[in-house]
Amino acid sequence: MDCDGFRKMISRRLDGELGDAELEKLERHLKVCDACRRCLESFGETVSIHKSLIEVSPPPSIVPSVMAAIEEPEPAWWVRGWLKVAVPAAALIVLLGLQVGGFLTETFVPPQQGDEVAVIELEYLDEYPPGSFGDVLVMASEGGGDEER
Amino acid sequence: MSDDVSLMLRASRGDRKAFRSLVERHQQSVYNFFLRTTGHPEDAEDLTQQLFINLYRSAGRYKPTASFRTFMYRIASNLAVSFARSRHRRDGVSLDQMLDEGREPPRHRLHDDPAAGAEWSELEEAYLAALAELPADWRTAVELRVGRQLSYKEIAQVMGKSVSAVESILFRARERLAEKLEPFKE
Repeated sequence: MDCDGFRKMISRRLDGELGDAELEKLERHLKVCDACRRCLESFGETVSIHKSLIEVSPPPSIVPSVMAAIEEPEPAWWVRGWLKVAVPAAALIVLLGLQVGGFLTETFVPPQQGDEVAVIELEYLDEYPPGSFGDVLVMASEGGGDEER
Repeated sequence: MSDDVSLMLRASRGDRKAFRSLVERHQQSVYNFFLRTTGHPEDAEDLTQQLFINLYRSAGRYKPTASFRTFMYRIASNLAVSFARSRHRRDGVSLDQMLDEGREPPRHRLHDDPAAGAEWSELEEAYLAALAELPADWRTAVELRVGRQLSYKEIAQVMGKSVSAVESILFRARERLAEKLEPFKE
């Protein structure tokens, strides 16, 4: 076993998690390895400092706050379930609306003057644009052509 | 059957007096667990309250075959790790930055009474700063082992990891802590 393996054993030894055979093996190695002895010392120091930290008294408000909170009825399962579905669904709808709105805004090209679209729109302002079904009917009923209109 | 298990079973049947006894028995240990894992008294208080509320609401799922302490610290560990993930560290400055700038590490806020903190050595303060810089699950494992005295097997159950993963985490955490403390030794 190399020193890295022994250092892992040192960590377990400090936690009292080493069996007798492993402990004996480690002790033999520590007698001949300065680097691992320094590791034992530095790891041991971290454990000692942590153990020496003060156990602080908790604030007196904890017990009354907890007892007050558990007195409040927990929301019914179907309310919690509904919220789990409703909130993401609402978020999805808003996102989809933004995506569609963004797409329409980006792809919309306003008609320019003289465009075919503009001409068609103007034609449809006419009650019977030339060549339309209505125009033919009017011509038939009046017995005339374009030049007569 | 231990007192904790008996109280927990009574709490699961809606006995609030029994649950209050459980809170009173464990609040100090839980509060200190959160204090060491978050480094902030306000956060530790909030998380302690949240833990006991969660514990009460999950009392119906508690099986007396499981150790109460393992059950409770499993909820605590999840809360601590989720908290760390959801919040950026508020102190902002790393220990390395402080050393580079020749500044002393800040007095760690682990006690409301400044007089108690004044007695701490520079090495202890450096240790707390280094602990705060560990990844959340490493810090949790160190506190569960050294602070709360849980065995490797119990920590593995609490953190949902294998015993060998816990061994590895503790080893790497100690390597990192020892490395950070090196400049503070005489």
